[in-house]
Amino acid sequence: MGQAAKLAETVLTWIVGAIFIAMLSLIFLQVLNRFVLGWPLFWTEEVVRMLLVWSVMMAVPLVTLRRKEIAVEMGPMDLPWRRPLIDLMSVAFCLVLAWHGVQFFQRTLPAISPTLGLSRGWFVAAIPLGAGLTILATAARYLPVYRTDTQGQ
Amino acid sequence: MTILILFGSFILLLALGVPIAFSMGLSAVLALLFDGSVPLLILPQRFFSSLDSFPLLAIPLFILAGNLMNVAGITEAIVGFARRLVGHIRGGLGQVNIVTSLLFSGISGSATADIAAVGGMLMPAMEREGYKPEWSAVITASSAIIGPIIPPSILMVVYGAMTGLSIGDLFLAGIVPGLVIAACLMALVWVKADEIGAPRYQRASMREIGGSFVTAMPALVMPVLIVGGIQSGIFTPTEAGIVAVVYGLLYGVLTGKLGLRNTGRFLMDAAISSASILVILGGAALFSWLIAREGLPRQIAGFLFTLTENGYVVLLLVALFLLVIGMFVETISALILVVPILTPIAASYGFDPIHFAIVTVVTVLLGALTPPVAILLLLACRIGDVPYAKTMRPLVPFFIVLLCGLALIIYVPALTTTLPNLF
Repeated sequence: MGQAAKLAETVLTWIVGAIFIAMLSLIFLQVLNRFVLGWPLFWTEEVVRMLLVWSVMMAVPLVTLRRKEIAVEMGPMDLPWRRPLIDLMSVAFCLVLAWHGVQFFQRTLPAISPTLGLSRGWFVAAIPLGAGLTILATAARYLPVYRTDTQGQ
Repeated sequence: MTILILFGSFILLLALGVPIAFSMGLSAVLALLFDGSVPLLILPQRFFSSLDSFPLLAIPLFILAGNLMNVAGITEAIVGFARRLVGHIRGGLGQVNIVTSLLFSGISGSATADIAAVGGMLMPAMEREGYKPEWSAVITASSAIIGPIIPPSILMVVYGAMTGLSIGDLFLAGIVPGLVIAACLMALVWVKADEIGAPRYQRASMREIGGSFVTAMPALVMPVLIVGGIQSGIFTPTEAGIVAVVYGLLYGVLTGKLGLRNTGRFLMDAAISSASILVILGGAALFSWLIAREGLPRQIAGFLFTLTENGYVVLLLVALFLLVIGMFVETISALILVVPILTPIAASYGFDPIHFAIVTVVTVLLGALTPPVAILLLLACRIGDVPYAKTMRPLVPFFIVLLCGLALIIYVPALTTTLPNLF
C-alpha cells in the first residue's frame, strides 16, 4: 500500500511538473510571438487557462500529502480526535465537489470551446478528478510511510 | 439565516483546523443545502470559473521568479548594497534589514518569502553583532510586510483578479505606501538604536556603494521591468510574470547557481505553493457568491450609513475589522474572504477603488503582525530561533509606528492615487 502510494505520488509530481512547464512555455511563446514571430497564436490563452486549472487541481493532492494546506492552527493540535475530524470534513467537501463535478463534466461535454474546437468537458474534468485524488491523498496520510514523514512538523 | 449558517459553520470549521479552502467550500455547501433553492451543481461551476482566469497565472510566475533570483544569490547582493548604503546610519544592521526588505520586495511578491530570504540571511548576522535577537525578529517581520505592498505582489494580483481592477494600477499604487512604511520603520530603528544594542558600520566610500550597486542592479531592474512593461501596454501582468521568470533563469544561469536539478525543484515548489493558494479561490467561489446573493454587503453598508456618513470613520472601522480578521487568518485567505464583502461597501461610500485596495492590503498585512497570533512574527521567530513571547515588548513600538503609517495611507489618498494617475 505504502509503496503504491509513493509511486502514485511520484507519477502525479511528474504530471504536475509537465503541465507547469507546458504552461510556462506557452505563455513565453505568446510573448515572444507578439514581438518576434508573428504567428496567429489565438489559441494559447485558452490552453494556458485550461492548464492552470489542471495544474492546480492535480497539485492539490500533493499539497495534501505534504501537509502544505493553508489552515488556522489554534489550540492543541495533538488531541486524538482532532486530526481525523479535520480530515473527515475535508473529505466531505471533496466528495461533494467530486460528485457534482462529474455531473458538471457530463453537462459540459457537448459544449465545444470557442478557439480549440475541443469539448469544454476536458477543461472541467480536472475538478472532479482533483477532488477525488485529494480524498485518496487524505486517506494515504494514514499510511505508515506518510505518518513518519510528517511527524513533528 | 443562510448567512448565519454560512458564517457559523465557517468559523467552526476554521477553528477546528480544516484547511481554509475546504472550510469556505463546505460551509457554503451547508448553507446552500439549508437554503435549498439552488442545486449544488453550482459548486463545481463556481469553483471552475474562479480558477479559469488568465491574470491568476501571474501568481505561480512571480513565486517562481522570486525563488530563482533568491537562490542565484541576489539576496547577498542586495544585502551588500544595502549595507554600504545605510549601514553607517544609527541602527546599523537594523537599517540594512529594512532597506534589504524594500529592495527584495521588488523581486518577491509575498511577505513570507521575504522573511525566509532576508531573515535567514540577516538575523544570524545581527545576533553576531550584538543585536538582541527578539528585536531582530521584530524588525525582520515588520519590514517584510513591504514585500507585497511594492510590486510585484501576489496580494494585488488576487485583488485585481477578484475585482477586475487593473493589476498594473494596483502595482503602481503600492510603491509610495511601501516607501512610506520603510521610512517609518527606519526612523523608529534610528530612535531605538541604543536599546536594540546596534553597532554601526563605517561609512562606505562612493566607490564601494557604486560597486555594490552594480551587483545588486538585477534586483532593482526587475520591478521596473514588470511595472514599466505592464503600464506601457507591452505585456499583461501574466506576461510580465513570465518575463520575470526568464529574467531569473538567465540571472541564475549567468551566476552559475542554477542547474537542471535545482531548477526542477523550484518549478515543483512554485507549482505546489501556488496550488495551495489558488485552491482557496476555488473554495471561496461559492462562499462569495452566496454573500453577494444574500445582499450582505448592502445590509452592512445600510447599517454603517445609520452610524455615520463620514467616509473616513468608515475606513477606520473597516481597518479595525480587517486587523481582527488578519489576526486569525493568513493574509491571502483573509483578502479572499473580505474582498467580496468590502468592495461593494467601499463603492457605496464612493471611495476610490485603488485607494481602498491599498488600504485593504496594508491592513490585512498588519493583521498578520497583530498578537496573539502574529503569523509573520511567528515565522521570523522560527527562523531566528527566538522565543515568541519575548518579542511582544519590542513589537509594541513597531506596531504603533506601522499603525501611524497605515493612518497616513488612509487619510492621504494622494500617496496611493498619484502614481497610477500619472501613468
